[in-house]
Amino acid sequence: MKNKYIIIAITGLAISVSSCRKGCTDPAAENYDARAKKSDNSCEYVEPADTTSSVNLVITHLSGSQTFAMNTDYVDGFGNDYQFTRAQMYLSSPKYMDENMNLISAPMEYALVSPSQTTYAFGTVPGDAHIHMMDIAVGVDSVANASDPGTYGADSPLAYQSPSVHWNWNSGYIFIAIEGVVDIDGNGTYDAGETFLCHVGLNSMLAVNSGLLAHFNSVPGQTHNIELDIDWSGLLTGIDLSVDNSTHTMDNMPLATTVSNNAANVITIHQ
Amino acid sequence: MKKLVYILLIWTGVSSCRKDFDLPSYQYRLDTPAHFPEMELPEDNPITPAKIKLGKLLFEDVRLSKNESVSCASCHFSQNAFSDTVAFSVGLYGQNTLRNSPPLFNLGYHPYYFKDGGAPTLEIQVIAPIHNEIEMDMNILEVCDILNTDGDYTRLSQEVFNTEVTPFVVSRSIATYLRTLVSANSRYDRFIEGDESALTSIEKEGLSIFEGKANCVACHSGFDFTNYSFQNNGIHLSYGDLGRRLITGLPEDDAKFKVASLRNLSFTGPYMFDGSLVSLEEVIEHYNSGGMNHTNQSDDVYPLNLTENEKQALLAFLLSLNDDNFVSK
Repeated sequence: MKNKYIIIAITGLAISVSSCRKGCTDPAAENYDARAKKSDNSCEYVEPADTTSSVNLVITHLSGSQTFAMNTDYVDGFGNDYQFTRAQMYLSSPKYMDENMNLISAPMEYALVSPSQTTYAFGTVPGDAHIHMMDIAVGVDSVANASDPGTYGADSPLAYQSPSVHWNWNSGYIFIAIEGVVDIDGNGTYDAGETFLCHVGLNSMLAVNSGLLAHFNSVPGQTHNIELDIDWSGLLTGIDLSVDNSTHTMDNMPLATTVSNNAANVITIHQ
Repeated sequence: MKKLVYILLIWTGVSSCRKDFDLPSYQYRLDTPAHFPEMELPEDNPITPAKIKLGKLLFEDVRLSKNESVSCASCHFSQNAFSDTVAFSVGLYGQNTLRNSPPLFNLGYHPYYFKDGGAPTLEIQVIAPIHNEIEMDMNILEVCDILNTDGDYTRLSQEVFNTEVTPFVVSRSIATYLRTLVSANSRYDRFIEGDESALTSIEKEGLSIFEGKANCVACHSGFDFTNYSFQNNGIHLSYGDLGRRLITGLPEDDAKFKVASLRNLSFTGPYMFDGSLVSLEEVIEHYNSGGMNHTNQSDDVYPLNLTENEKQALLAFLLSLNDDNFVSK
């Protein structure tokens, strides 16, 4: 009688072991084992051929036609001396067009640009395309603008940054953050309190730089550099910094709107 | 022997054929009464006891502020239903905040945060005071750097999130702690659950006025006595605060603020978005007067013509919404 139970137990164990074979359980894998019931992490995959071309933005930072530098004197359109102490902007939403202005599919990308850096990875384009023209936005799209920076990896431009580029009174990103000093009284020095600050960001203030003649042929597996100029002083076109020098967007919408409108014209193909 | 064999058979079958998936960690179940809805939790932020502990630690930690003088708890006192006792709280370097500190309870039910609804989630909201120049004036990345030198935090963070302290860890932990601050045990709650004796006759009369003649329920409705809408209640004729307009930019949202809950009023004064009314008697008198007729004043604020007895009854009812157990936590 006892032997009977031992036989049942051994049989059960054998059935259990054989029916619960380990192996690769992913049908998409090269070594898929249809008899495997439990994964042993052995799945192997064939690397798909890279059919895309990577894109870098290579940016020349300018103030008008001069090379841009922080803490350097510039003059606004109303004769006021000023210097930048902070300059950041988000670039996003690339759109690429061929010669016939057909849209070429490309993923959404984001870059947080500042004058201290020239090269930014900016996603991919199909690897066999002729890119004739591109649009690029200053700011981030409405979906990203409503997202939680805490959910992005530390390397993402949409993650929390220092200094912060996320509003502390609202959800959403600061699309453009420029700050500096301005000689308001024209006495030749930047006195205490003579500052300007423009923090611009609201869905309606996404500023698209359209019709940039990028002109390149993408090659699968290779990286193409798109060379752009950003005129940081151009953001202040038409603004008299001695009298209108502070906006967090909602507290001075006219100034924020002017900066946003200017932002649609500050990016050009590098000459 | 027979028993042992069957146990062995069952065990081998179950253990060897278990599917590959991550078992969820132990989740904390919020203790809410039947007349409260189920609280919806973000998919990426389930509640666990260890996360509550981490969130409470962060909530009370002054290292979240620039000069280590201000924590979240500095303006949100537990004995005041996590509100402050002054019109404007004192933030960093003696600066005053711009709005009255709100009480913190039943937050997991709110559809948005701040009095103007500027923050869509609790996870986004909890980082904002850290960055605010008046309140804490820190950067969340600096905060994480500091906390990562503290063994207690790094151990808890590893235990809960399997990572060092990051903005994700801070935001999820504080938000989780706040969601557990549920206030649902007032005498009114017991009345709603069927205990007729939980309210006195004058309180029941006040409830009748609340729902009838005074029509407070037009805005202060539901289990938490707010419909979470944005309203101008006519407390001023002109405002130095744009309210909801700060978020939308729309003139029709000028000076509108999120309707506040009426729970725990004995502990949460002064009242209104700017703490401009000190007593509940003043609040009732304001609504009885019909407001100042601001351009955007709600149509539901109009002269009520309440008698003195009706005002007393209304006040009595409002006080029945106090949750003494909550403030003693």
